[in-house]
Amino acid sequence: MPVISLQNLKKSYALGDNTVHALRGVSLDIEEGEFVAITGPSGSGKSTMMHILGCLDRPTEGHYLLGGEDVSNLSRDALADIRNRQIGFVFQGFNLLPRTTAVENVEVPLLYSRPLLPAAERRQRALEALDSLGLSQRADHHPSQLSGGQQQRVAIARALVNKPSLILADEPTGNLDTKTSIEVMRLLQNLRESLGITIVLITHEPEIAAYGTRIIAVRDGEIVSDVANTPTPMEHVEEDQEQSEPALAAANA
Amino acid sequence: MLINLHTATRALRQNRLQAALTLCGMSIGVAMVVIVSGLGRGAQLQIESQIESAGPTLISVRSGNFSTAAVTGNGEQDSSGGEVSQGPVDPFGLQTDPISDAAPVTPVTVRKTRHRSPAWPLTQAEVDAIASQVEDVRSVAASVAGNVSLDEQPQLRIRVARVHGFQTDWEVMSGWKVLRGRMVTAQEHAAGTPVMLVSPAVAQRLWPDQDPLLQQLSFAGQDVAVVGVVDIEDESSSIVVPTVHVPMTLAQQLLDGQSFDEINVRSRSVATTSGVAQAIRRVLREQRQLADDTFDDFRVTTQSTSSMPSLGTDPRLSRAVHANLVELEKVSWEEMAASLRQAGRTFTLLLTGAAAVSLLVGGIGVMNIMLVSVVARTREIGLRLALGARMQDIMLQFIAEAVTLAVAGGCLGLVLGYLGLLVAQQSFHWAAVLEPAMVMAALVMAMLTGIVFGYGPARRAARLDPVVALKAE
Repeated sequence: MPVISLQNLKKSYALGDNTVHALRGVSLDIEEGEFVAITGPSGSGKSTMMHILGCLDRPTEGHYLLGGEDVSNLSRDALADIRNRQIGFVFQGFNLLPRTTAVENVEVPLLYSRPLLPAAERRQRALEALDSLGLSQRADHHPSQLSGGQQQRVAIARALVNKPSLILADEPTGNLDTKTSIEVMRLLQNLRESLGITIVLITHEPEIAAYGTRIIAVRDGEIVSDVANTPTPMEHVEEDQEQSEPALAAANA
Repeated sequence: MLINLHTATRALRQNRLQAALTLCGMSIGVAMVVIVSGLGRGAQLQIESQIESAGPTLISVRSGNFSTAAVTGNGEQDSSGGEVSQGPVDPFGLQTDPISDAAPVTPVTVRKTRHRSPAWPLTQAEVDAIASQVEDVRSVAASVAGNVSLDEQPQLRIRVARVHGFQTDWEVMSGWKVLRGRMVTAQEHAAGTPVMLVSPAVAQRLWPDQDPLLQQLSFAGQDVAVVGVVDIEDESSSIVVPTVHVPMTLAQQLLDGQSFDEINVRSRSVATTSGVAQAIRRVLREQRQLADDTFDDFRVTTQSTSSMPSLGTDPRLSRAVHANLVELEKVSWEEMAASLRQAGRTFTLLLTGAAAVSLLVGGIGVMNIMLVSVVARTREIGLRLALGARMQDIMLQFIAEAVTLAVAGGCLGLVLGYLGLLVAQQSFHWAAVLEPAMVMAALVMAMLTGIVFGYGPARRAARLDPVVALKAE
């Protein structure tokens, strides 16, 4: 059973007197463990697709099955619960709460989990998530005290803390330099390999899309190509990360 | 909730100046509430105390019963001197009473009864019985008096003094005022410390042109020092035998006896005085195990009955007036009290209006900063929604912030209000009272203001579209 199944999905907005058709009938299945890169120029509808995939928005027509459940017509609060339990978001601008420590940022999704975990357990899980991304030393740092790469890793830790089945990354490297971008992409690749998490990545950069196992191109609200891809190899990831880690630490010191 | 509180304080710290200004606005509202309720309560208490102090609330109990025929407020037979009459009393000597329909006079039937002789003295057991068994009693105190020989003192020309022993509260009930020195303390009452009070007249007579506070008298080898000069109305001190006032325990020791001459009882209010007097009579009869056909061997007098003339009046008229006077007096006092209370309520109502307006202004301030906060933090709200916050989570977060702000302002307002009350009390001599319940009420009001005025902005935040909110700058 596919993790994600879009069936003739349409989305239109009223913009003034005109109706904008952002999605014009998209059908798509994504299997568990896939790393799908969705590419397309701005205005192609890829952002709308991301919003619907992320249960932030509802389609005008068609069906969206997430883990076999039709979520197309759920209430706001029901969608909030699905986002909380099943989807981890990684945003372009990191979207970390300012003046809030890394570990507290990672804890935020746990605050909205039902049933609510005890404070000690929330802290424990947040620290574990940070630790798995090599950030345990930075747990008490505020976002302003972290480098861009570190901030994005905190954001990824936040996306992982509730053990979701799907990670949605919306231009995760948009605010990062090339070197850090590669780092973050390898991290995502690594998550897929080790945890088997399905990842959907939205990007307009072909080099970033190349890290996926499948590349889908969207244009004018329709899928124009859907090809399997041999992801950019991860071979030298380990050494590179080892190199960058002290370098970042030094830069921050 | 704690998480929300944490988030709220952090959010407020990010917006220090605005938060501080709102806090000020809020605190003024709450300060007004505190001042208003403090002044209102003060005025109310003052009115009550005026009502009470104005009305006859003093009841006196004496041993023995030598009074002429009298009846209680209920028309019950009280303590008759043996006079027997049949049927209703007609105060005007008319067979047909023209006003009897409008104001019926209680019929009185006096049975033939007997005296117990000699009368029993009053004791501490009876004081205790009155204090514990009679309702609406504010205070009870006994007194005793007797002549005691003085030890020879060269400068004194007198040999005997009248020692008046009194219990705690007696001086309050009798309206004694300290002119110099101090009252006898509760500890001294309990211990029977050899201290005494004198009136200025007695002091002048005993120690002319000397400081009375440095003087003492010696009774059977015991020195009793003067600790205070008090203004005592209608003191029955003779020229020959001056009166000194000492703690009861000391007086009993000097007089070598345990009994009392008189017990004074202060009822809680005018309206209850006659009821208390009747209850005292019942309790004392029980205490003394008087049979139904035996007269009281004590006398219970209220100020109203004692002020009635008893000589030169037709005894039947006197009895009839006595029978109705207490009730009449009670009614007129209650009317006066009601109109005074009404005036107090109006005063409080006016002030409450002013307080409500300032609280409203404070609340609008809270609403304003919350609306600003929602706009400034749209992106954060979008993020929280994306991470799984339900609408109620966002609502709670912002209401918690508004309530935190309002309650913090409320605490500041309590301090300001307290200072305001102090100023009102010290500078304007207004009666002001601050009770814990009022402090709680003011805080609850602040909290409610936070909830009411935080609701709108919080709802606005919670209803944001996550997609739109996430894109916000």
